[in-house]
Amino acid sequence: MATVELDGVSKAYDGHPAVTRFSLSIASGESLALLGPSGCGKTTTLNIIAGFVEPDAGSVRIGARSMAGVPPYRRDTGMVFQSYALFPHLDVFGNLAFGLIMRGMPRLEIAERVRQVVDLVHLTGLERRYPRELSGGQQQRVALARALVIRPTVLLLDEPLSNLDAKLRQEMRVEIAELQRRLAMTMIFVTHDQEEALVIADRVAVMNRGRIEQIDRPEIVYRRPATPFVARFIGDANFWTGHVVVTHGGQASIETADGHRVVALDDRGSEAGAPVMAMVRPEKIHVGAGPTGLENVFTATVKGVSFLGAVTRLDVVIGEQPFAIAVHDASSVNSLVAGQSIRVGWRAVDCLLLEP
Amino acid sequence: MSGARPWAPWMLLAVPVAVFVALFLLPLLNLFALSFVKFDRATGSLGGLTIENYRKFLGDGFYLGILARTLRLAALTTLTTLALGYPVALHLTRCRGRQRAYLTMLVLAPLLVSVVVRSFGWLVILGPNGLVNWVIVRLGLVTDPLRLLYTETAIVVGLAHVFLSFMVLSIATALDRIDSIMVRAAQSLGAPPRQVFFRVILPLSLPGVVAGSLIVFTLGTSAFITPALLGGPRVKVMSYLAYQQTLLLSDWPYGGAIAFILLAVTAASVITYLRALESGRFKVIFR
Repeated sequence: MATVELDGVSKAYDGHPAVTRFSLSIASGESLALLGPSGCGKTTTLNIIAGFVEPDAGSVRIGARSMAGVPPYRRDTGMVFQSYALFPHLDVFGNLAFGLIMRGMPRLEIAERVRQVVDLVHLTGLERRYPRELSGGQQQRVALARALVIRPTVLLLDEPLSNLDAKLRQEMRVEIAELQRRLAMTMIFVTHDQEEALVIADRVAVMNRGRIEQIDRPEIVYRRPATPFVARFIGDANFWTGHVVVTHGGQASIETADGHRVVALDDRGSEAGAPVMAMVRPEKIHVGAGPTGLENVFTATVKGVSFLGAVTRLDVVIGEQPFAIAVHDASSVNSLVAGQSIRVGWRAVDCLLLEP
Repeated sequence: MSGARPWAPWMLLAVPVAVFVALFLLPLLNLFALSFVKFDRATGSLGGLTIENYRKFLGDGFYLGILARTLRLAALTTLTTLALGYPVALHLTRCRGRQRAYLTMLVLAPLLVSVVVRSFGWLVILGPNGLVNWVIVRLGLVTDPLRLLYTETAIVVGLAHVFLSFMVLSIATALDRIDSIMVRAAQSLGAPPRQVFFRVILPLSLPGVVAGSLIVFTLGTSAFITPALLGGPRVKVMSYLAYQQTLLLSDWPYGGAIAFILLAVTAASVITYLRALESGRFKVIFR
């Protein structure tokens, strides 16, 4: 059953559309990431669900109830803000109890509920501290706990981890994902960090210019991006533009603009002559002898080698077309120098056709 | 700057410090010393050290009554400006651009008029044939004009009129500093507008309320012209009493004692007030 439903929601600021005919349905207990570059409308979408922003058109339903004209304080949403927005005049207990007091809960019950959530997010012993006396990570936990303790129908998070340092961010990612699964919490969170989205979310909605480009499970969004934008935004991608020459048995043969032939997976039923973009991920390109049976093999010229730790990035050109290649075994490419010719190749199933 | 010429900041401060010392601190110390000098009313001569001036004030119900009235009027003025000023400040911070500039000018308008002119204005309005009495008599609320002038009410009205500016600007500054995300956070936790105000906005604006109260209270205890004109000799306050003793009766020692008692009591009130806040429920926002 859908817990949150957006239907044809549009919002413009001073004539500039922020969200355009946006529809979305989130199941109970599901965690959804709204992922996109800044200005793509993801925060506006979250604010529309929370009730801070009134949409120009379309409808929002939370728990099957229409939210038209319902103010934020009657929506039963919990929100974690990017800046945490903790109340500076209240201690941790006061911050956590705020939402429960608003719900008219008896004192004893409030104390019990706060104690539980303090345990849940590992804040024990900090109840009497004030926000300014807490570290960034602790403040983040308080913000999360404050939204969790009211047990909202849907938990909304706006870039919740963007103010933490890299290491803490990775820890909190895993922790939030675990909490969400344990509590079976319906959750929508906004992020521009693809890794964050992939780790936490059951489904990822990739947004661009106020629209959803693709919404699906993280691995599908990565493996089968629907548009060049998605392919570029999630992970790295190499593109080769051209047109379809012939299709046969789920594969298509493409002639690129600079006259090369590429064989690619064609699961969308392309027609001959259609303009397309062939996309291949950097880690799917083999260098040197490689495995046999690669449908696409080219001679490339090395431009540069950069050691990045776990992977080594190899930049080459095939004709004029630049390609990035991710190599896991640095020793195989360390000896390469710029200008050298090498053999590169990839399988047809690793090469997707996208509409330009 | 401080490494090469450590005395440079002091040089820059020297002139204002000299002016302050010469024109304020020295006369004050002189007056303080004078307040312990014996004054002979019959001959008008000074001589001998005494604490009689202080004993005379603190042992006489009449004088203590004037002190109590002074504090009461300052407190009432503070409460009046707070009650009237808070909504104005709240509205001011919600205005933007030109509207806000005009409203700020309106708030500051009383300060543009000389205190004497302003007080005479109130004399006209509050007088037996003034606007207020004219209206309430015509409306039939009273049969005879009320005595509004030369009352404590008149003084509070006159003081509140001008001190309102300080209260509004203090509170508006504090309100401006509150992050608007706080409102959203409270709303997302289920707080309707009333609760947002009383549980978030009001506590977070307390530093402004405190600053405004301190300014209005201290200005209120030491105000002279407004109480003198609107209260007259019948409703005396400390500043008027000190003026009367020094300039009308030439009893400088007693006038000095009155001035220092007012100073000490005002300072003690302010310190007590701040102590109470520092140990109160929202102590954290004053740190």
